Amino acid sequence: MVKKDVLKEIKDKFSERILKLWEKSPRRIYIDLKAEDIPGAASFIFKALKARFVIASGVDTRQHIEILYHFAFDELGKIISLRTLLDRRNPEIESLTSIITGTEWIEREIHELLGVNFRNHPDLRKLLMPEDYPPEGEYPLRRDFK
Amino acid sequence: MSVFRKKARLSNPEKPETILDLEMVVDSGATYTQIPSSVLHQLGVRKQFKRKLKIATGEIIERDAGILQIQLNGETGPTWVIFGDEGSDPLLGAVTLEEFGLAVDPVNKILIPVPELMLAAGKTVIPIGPYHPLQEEPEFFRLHVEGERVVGLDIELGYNHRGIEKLAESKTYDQIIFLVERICGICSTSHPIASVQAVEDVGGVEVPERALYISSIIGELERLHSHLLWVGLAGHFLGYNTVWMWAWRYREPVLDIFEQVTGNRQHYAMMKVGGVRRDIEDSDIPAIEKAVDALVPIADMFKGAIVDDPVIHARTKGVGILTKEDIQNYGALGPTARASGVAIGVRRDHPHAAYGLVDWNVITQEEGDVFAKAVVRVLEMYESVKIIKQCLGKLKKVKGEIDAKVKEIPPGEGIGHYEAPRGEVFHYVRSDGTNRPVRYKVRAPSYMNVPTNKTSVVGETVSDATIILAAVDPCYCCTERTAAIDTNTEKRTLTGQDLIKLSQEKTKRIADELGLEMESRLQGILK
Repeated sequence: MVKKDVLKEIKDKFSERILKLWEKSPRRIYIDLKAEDIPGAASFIFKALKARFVIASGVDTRQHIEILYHFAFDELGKIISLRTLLDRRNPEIESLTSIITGTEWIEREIHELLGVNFRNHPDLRKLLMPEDYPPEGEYPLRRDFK
Repeated sequence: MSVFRKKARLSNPEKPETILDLEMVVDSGATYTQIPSSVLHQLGVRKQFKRKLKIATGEIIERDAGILQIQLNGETGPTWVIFGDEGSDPLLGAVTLEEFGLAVDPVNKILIPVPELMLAAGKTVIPIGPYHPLQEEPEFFRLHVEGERVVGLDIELGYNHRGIEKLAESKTYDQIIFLVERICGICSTSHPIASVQAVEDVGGVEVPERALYISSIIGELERLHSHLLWVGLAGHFLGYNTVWMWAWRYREPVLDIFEQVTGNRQHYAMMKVGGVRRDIEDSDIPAIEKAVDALVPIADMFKGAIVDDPVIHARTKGVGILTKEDIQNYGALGPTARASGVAIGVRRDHPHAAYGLVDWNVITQEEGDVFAKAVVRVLEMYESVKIIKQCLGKLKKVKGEIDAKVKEIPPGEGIGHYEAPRGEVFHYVRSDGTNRPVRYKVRAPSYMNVPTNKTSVVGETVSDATIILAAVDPCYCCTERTAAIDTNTEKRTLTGQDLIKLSQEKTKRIADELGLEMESRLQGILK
């Protein structure tokens, strides 16, 4: 059963590790974390608080590669998104596939389109594009993609 | 070809006390091992049967054959032996080499052990897909089959990758609605609803109430035609072609309403940031009410034809089960989740449009099999009718604006999601304050639902695979383009038509066993 105040539970558990917490509205909450804190927080939200994994989305902000992991608390009508910023020259983060089966495809996709290396992902083959396009090292959703 | 000799120890398996060591010529060009008759007589090998052999001149000759015990490369075992001519070389033939798992290395003149094959009888890979005219998302399923049972599944996608997210970065917010509308031909209003919601979330736009009712009416009409489409196709796969034809016949009036209200049978172009693009006139309301009322007895009819049918029970109950844990792990959505007892639905949980303003129920089933998924879809049609009728009633009373007339989208980010017929569509948008987004992310429900097939198909039979793959309603998964290829011969053994036929025949067999005459029974119900 989902606890009433999931946001308080997350705050209590990860208080000093939360870089920024933004309640855009009661239904949309964004929490910024360091990349190494993502697996722990995702595991707590998904396994202990029983949130539904919606999807992850990546964006090239020119300074960083940013990844958002969106979780839905359906019984509360809330979406909590975990945000992390990765070094644009060498974007790397631990894969969540061992925690959430449903992250397998989207991590492959972000790897393919934004060039993020998900450590310990079982299968980082291309998901959407052909084998031979775009060439190795070019990522279609990066700002500098031509 | 280089010829070399190999020492072998020979004996008679029936009288193993006599042993003879012999230098034999390794000749993988000869089928059988061959030894001069006098040597075999010395060992007491009996002539047990005859073999026909082709010799170098092309002539066919007949020779006696028996069974010889042979020790080769440290291993001992029996092998067939041909009684050869006097004075001929003793030959070590291909069959014997294969029996001992040895390959010839002609350069180093040795025999090398090679791993021997052990394949389950008839292990076959069945590719399903990738293209099918009925689906908007080509997918490629590779079924690994042992006999009748599916033992593994690979899923490959990207065949119709159109780069919508990348394209969206170069379009204005108004254009994006038309772009995402074309992601899918069946849930073509679900993406626009999620899209405008996401953009409205960036700017915190309040949408006029009348527009909310219109959004919900369009959304539910879409759910009706989509579920009818699924019922028809599921019927076809199971061999109920009457169900197929009738379901699609009753889908037509829904498309007619769309044409009347929006001007289009598909791609309605009704959504707009801050409201809807067109009003529903009071004069149109009676016709819509009449058409959706007429769908209730249709839904009753399909409930009778499918939900209460013992043959359908036999084909779909206990087949392709997904548990609650599977749903949670894969993040599965929509009827797929609700059929496994996971009562989620964006319409109720994150109310948008008018869903918080009218009375309706979230349909769930507990079993998680194909049958439960069918029941959820049929029962959801009643709820859609309920929602549409209440919204139409409100439209008569709530007058006024249908558009908040949004001028600018501020910098920021927004999330929009909507319960499409197949489950939640999810849109995330990042704005920098210009009229185009910096990033536009779309997640369709099949993206989460299709991977569940890895769990639900494995362990089931080939004849059930089509209906299980179809049960998540992946916008119709290429099943008619299916071909089964025998991995040994690379020959086509089953086409897509054959697979559907296999499924249909299984239904007929069950019907016959139950003593039911299918088509005439259905004709009786579908009147």
